[in-house]
Amino acid sequence: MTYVVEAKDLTIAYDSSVALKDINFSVEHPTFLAIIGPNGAGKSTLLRAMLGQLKILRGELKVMGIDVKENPRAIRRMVGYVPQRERINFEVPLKVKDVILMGLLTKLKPPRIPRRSDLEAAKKALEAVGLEDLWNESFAHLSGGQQQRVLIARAMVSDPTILLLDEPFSGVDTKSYWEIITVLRSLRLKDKSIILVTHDINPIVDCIDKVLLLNKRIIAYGTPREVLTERYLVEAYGPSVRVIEHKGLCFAITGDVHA
Amino acid sequence: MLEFLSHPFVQRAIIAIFLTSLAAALVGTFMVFRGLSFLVSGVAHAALGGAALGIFLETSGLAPFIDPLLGALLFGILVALIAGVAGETGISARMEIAIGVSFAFAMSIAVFFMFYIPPERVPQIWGFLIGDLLLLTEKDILLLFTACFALSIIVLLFHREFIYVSFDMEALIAQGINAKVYHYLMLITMAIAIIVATKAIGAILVYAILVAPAAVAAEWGRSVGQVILLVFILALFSQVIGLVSSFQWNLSPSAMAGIVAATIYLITLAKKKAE
Repeated sequence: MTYVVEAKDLTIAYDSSVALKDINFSVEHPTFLAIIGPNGAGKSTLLRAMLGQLKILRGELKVMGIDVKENPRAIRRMVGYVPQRERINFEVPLKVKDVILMGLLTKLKPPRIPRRSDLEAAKKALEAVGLEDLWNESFAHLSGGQQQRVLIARAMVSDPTILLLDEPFSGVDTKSYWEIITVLRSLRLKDKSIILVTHDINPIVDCIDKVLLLNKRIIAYGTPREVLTERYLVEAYGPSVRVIEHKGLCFAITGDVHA
Repeated sequence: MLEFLSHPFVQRAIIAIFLTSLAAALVGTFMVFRGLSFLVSGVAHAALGGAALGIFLETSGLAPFIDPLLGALLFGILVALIAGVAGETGISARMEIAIGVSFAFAMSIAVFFMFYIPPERVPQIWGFLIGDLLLLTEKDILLLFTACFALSIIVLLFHREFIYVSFDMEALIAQGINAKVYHYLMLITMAIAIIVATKAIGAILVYAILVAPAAVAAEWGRSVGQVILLVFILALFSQVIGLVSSFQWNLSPSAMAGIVAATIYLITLAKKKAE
């Protein structure tokens, strides 16, 4: 049995403040895992730790059986990463094709000139997210949802085993929501593992296998039915959180988003 | 009418215009992409502090081997490094603060050392600020050519890295690329080019030529290549107008070039606002 992620007594700290404490969980590959929790809960920290970008203070973290401390390079080769769209600089006038090719050209040596096979793979990746007509379009001029799908295509163009997404639904309209979910569902069916951080678990609750509810430590981990209960949500988000129930599952209303 | 082209000092000015336009295209474009136009100004003005320190060390006998250009380069690179440390995560706002502080420090150093160096050497420091296209020596041109040649090679080799660092540093790191190396390579290379251009044409014109055309081109260019080409054309156009007007109407070529570049930027701004 292969675990896509295995955390044992994992503790991560930034300077003197602890971001994640005594994290213990494992999830089998392939999976669709949603990481939820309030702001500052350590959700993005866990993603970055999986990529080997953060110093582990204590404990162990393995991705596909590889210790992130020992061989982060090997892990990065297996992972496609979709960062938060807000971190992207839209002042750089890149076309859609340039953005997707970034996922392949970073594997080459400078000056990283694309080969015919790279162009073909990039076109295929764009096709997989249903945006083949936008190949030559300006990335900055696309809608939020289209940009997110292009970023997923960039992460998947090198055919990684795992896809990590940080807030993929942030700032996208409802139609784009469903289009992104369709893409993620199809990837899950191709035996890829998908791990995403989100504020809004409601629309994806039917397609995820596991939920990890964090607030600097694990509040609950299991299937959506096991985790999305009033008790756990109140424990994670605090007593002032408004919890609504839908089809036997509970959702926390925090500001304008659901978790 | 084209008789003035036969003068060697005019020929040197034309070569300098071509080379500084190339520097503007390669440096200005990336600085504007990263929201770091202020770095151009910070580094160019750091040259004053560096030059003053260089002259002080040279004339006081403390370190006779240091000359003003070396001092300027050291200070310029230092400003770029300070900005680089502040912006390792790709957040430009932090870098702008660091540049502002370094800028003030470098200018203070310049004023401080002016009192301790021989008065006849003081104009050399001001030369870094104002410069003159028509007073360039062959050595200046050679230096400018060498810096632009090195800059072109580095950008040709690493343009994708510079684009990716500007576009999405987080994803670049996640893909296993040592983004910090390219972040610093970009800043240091650009700082050296800025200092050498400052030595040739002065900080004020460097700022006008490296920033205004890039800001205009970033509004109109639909690809990185288009922006670079547009910056080159605009920088060349502004400086050629400056040179021609200096012969036609006896105006300062640097001042005219700066005014033309700034005017094009203001027109673009107004046009974009009207849209």
